[in-house]
Amino acid sequence: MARAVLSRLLQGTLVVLGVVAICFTLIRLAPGDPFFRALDEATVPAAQRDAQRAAFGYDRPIPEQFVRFVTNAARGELGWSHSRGEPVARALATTVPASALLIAVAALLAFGVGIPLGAWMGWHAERPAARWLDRGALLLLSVPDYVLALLAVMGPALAWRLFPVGGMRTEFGPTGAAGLLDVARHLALPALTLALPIGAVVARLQRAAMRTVRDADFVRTARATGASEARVARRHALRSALVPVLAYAGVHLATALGGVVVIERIFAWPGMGRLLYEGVLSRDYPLVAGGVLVAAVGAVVGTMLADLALRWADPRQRGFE
Amino acid sequence: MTARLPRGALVVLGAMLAAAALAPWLAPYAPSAQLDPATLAWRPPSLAHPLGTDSFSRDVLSRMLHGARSTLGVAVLAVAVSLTLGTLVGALAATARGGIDALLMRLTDALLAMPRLLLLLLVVAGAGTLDLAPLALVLGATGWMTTARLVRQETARLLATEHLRGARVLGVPWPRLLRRHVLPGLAPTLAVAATAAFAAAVPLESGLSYLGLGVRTPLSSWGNLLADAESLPLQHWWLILFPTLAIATTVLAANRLAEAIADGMQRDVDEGTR
Repeated sequence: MARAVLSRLLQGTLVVLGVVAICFTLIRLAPGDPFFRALDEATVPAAQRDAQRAAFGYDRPIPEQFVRFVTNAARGELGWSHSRGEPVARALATTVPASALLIAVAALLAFGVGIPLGAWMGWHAERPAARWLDRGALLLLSVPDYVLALLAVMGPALAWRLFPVGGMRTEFGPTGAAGLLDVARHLALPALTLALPIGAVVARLQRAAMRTVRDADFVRTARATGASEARVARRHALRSALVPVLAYAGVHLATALGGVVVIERIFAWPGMGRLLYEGVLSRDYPLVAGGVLVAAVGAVVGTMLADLALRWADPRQRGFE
Repeated sequence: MTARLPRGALVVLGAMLAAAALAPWLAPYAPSAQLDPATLAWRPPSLAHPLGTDSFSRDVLSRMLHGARSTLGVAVLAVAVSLTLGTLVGALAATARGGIDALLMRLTDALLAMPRLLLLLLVVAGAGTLDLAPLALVLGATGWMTTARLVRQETARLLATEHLRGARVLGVPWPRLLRRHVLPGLAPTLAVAATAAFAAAVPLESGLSYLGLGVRTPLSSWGNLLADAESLPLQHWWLILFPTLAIATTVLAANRLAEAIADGMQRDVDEGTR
């Protein structure tokens, strides 16, 4: 067990380094630099620009810059965000919680509704209602997330004024308990649009798994012991049928941040996705590197948690150490 | 192969691709012609303009047809690129095994661990503005990983079958072995991978164009049509409804098709004909 954890940690570290190295290089290969908005003018002499670049070490070879970034990051220093005019660490500290809240609430909604719904659909696969739900889920996951977000902004937010159009809280709004309610109202639409396609995938996976398990020998045996149908479904069939869904949860967590980039932009949610998006567009090298680092660590940790859950659900996976 | 293909999905995909191919002949107006900004802007659907007109009095039907050209053209090309790359990597990993296999698969895993949209943003930022063909290349280059994993698995399975072991014993050279014996066996897997990749490429292209990073005006794409309609009041419903419907039905049809082919493969396995 300890060896398995250690080897996973080592692999995870390598994946994080690899992902950061790829992004670190790509953003530096892009035309322009962090100063293009301020300095791209005919009146700015080239020497000025070179001085700026040299001050931050951007004139050095990329591998050298990367090594410096990694050693600084290991000491907890992520550098200065040019576009935001604050330390990268502070920019991340204000945006990571917002994204975490959005992703967590959406995942709770998607898995909390998708798993029971999918299990029901699989257990009663022959019912017309189950079949229609399955088709509805396929339709739902065929609508791109940005289109869902657009529709949510146009209908419930702009036209019917049920929810705020964007942001995370009302400016100069209430604090305390009323403030929490305010955040919840802002959270409703982005969390729902993020959760809908994920929930559709979860429900369909759960349905397929439950349907396969339904006819398995061990389920028949459980029935033969005289256990009630509900108990057989919940205690015996569902636990084993959770395996593919938990595996998907790992994949989903690993790429969750990519999923929130568009949603956060459309709903003006002050999270990491938007931060990274703006960081890439303004060629803010330190901000992109720091953001990707945090995102990659989050992805690796998420995958590991999903693996742990898998080992709980599927005892066969524990036998290989 | 005993797949029962969903006729509706095939018809939808066929019609969309035909509309894209024939857009210049089908479109009643030039896609970026501003017919009469003073009197013809914001017209709801009518006989003269079946899908209405936009804020510049451009005909939405014509823009949709030409948009299908960019969106579906980019998607098809992207699928071709990702399928080629994925098949090469997957087949190489499965036949080489050992160190090369491990190296290729870890690279695949690392790329899969990156959010694809972020990867796309970085690559698109690197290219500045992109034409259609480079956009398709970029989409394909960031989308080959799942195909590679599928192909590797299936190639390994095929190589272990009796008739391929027999062929190897008979001394059939590797290139011929792969071309004549493995590739035909891969066909259903590749069909699934291609349709699934297509279903992923359409939202990605339209999403990038929506963000202003893909196809740019005056050229139309289903994505930048939506960007034009963004945050308009609901009275102008036709500007948002038709691009949404086009994207959703196309992706739905591709998803249905991919599933039907995969189900057919599964049925073959169950019936022991594979």
